[in-house]
Amino acid sequence: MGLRDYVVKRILLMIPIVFVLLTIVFVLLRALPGDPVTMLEGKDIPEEVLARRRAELGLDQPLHVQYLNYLASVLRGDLGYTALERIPVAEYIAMRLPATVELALAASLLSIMIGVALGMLASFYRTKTTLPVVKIYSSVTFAIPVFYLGLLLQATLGVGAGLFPTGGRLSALNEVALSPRPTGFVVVDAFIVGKPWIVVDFLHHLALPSLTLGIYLSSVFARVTYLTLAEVTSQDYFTAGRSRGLTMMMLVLRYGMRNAMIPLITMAGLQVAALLGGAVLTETVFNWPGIGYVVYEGILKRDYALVQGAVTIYAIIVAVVNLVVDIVYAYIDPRIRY
Amino acid sequence: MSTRTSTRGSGTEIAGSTAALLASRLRSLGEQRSLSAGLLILAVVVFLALAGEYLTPFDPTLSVVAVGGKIHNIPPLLPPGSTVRIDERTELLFVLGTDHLGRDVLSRIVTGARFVLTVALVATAISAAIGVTLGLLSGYVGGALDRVVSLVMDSMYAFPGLVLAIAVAALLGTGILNMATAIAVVYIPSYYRMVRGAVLSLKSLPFVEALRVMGMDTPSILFRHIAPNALYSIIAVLPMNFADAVITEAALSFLGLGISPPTPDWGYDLNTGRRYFLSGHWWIGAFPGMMIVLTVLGFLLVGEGLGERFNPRRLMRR
Repeated sequence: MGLRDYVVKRILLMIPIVFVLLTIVFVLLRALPGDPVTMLEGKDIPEEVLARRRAELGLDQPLHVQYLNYLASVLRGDLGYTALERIPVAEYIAMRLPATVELALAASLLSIMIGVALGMLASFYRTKTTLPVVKIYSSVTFAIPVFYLGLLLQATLGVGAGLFPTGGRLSALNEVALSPRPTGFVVVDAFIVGKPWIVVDFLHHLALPSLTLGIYLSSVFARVTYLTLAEVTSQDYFTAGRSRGLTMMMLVLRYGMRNAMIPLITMAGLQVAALLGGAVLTETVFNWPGIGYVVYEGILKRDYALVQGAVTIYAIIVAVVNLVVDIVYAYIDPRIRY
Repeated sequence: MSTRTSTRGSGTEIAGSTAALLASRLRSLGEQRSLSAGLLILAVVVFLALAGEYLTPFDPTLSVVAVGGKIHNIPPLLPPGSTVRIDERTELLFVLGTDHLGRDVLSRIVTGARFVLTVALVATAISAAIGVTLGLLSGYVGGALDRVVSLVMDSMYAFPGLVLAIAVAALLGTGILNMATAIAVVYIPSYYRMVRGAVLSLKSLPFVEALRVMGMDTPSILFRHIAPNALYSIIAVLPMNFADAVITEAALSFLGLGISPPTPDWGYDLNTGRRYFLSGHWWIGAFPGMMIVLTVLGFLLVGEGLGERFNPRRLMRR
């Protein structure tokens, strides 16, 4: 089977996966005991108001009708309206999507850079101290909750040293200067509008949130790089290369890393869930206006449609990202195209 | 084996094998060390959770203190190490300072252990019970059941765990059981995958066939003979699940989906402390955060020690 056939097959396979994910979301949000309306609107609200909200959200219907309605409305791209401003939830989330993509890309890049660099350093200089350093780094970065790490960076590099802004995506002036947003992505929009200097301000704001999320995700990459390289470097051809006078650095860069790529990409694919989950907390800490922040807003404003809409969008993102990872994987490793 | 590096310079074969032996001893000691360090940390945290109020100098939920029959207000936002003079004879020490309401931070982080650990314990129990049962059935029965359950579990596995937990917690509300359920949902697929894999490889072994030939019924084979062997595979998952449950509990509390005040809880206090971090009152949030890190590290070390012992090729999974 050629790459194209595989891609087509994989795209078709996405349909049942999205369907299953949406069903899971539905089961979790509707079929579990617990009434979202009383839960989110509060207990001291008169029963007729609650009943009206329930009818509005379609929660007074029998479960199977709710299920079909839910699937149908998702297919139509209709996720309901926000409770307060009455904006379509789909539109509201679409507005926030670029910010999450920006944060996720920056954080992934940083995490791979930090992780791979650490793992490589540890295998260049194989002494008694390097392995424990990688181990301690990856354990501690795993153990620190991402929001705590964010707060610490905010307090030290942000407020303490005054190096970086502690929240938001742009400073207020630039937020206004960039008001028509053709794409929603700051880097692209800044050039379209003709004010490329806004990018600097954006990167300045992006620094702390992406570093937070990047450090949080880097622990696994450090470990995977180190372990793979440890295995590769104990192979015979490595010893042969060493005896021919090649330096360790050259061997690792030219031969070791090529072998480490496949487990790294697998790991990167597996990390997407952690990335999206971590983004919810990072966006909350840094008031980064992405989808993760929408989830937080939904909880805070007790807006059921918003929470449900965001979770639905996450389901679709997960399916799409998995598709992309699989295709990249098939492109890199020819053995995959079964 | 790293005999090559450890024999460097020794030359003789005997010295080489001694060095190899020593290296393997050292390695198992290192494994032991991470296990025992983890167990030590956990022992302390569990002790704090059990002893709670009996240890603390102040009531963690009150901003007043009774000295000599009189009620005194505790000043809020005292930095760590502050002392407050009540009268000539009594001076109160606030080792880790006080929070925005004048409650002792040390007392709150000591008593805060209880809620987190209870939630994590219940959550781990729920997800292990469901995940293991599903894994056993799905792996042994196979066929359509296996395909459907696997598809659902794989989808859940790919879904961001925290978002799932948030969705469930937002629906169920606060309380130990509700939070535990929300957290439990996330880890069910991990148990499922481990147990299913183990069952698949076990059920093709001759002893299972022998049992079947002997006329033993399926439930007995599954629960009395396969299950005990398959359960080995989850030993390494359990501590990781615990660690993750502690982090997720803190995250839910941090997002405002945790318990209601004034019950002390690390995640909740970290959320409160968040507002004061930026104004320089770092101790309100910093110490509860440290407790979370320490506890998670404890579980992680135990998991690592057990993982190396039971399955040396296992990688860490988030």
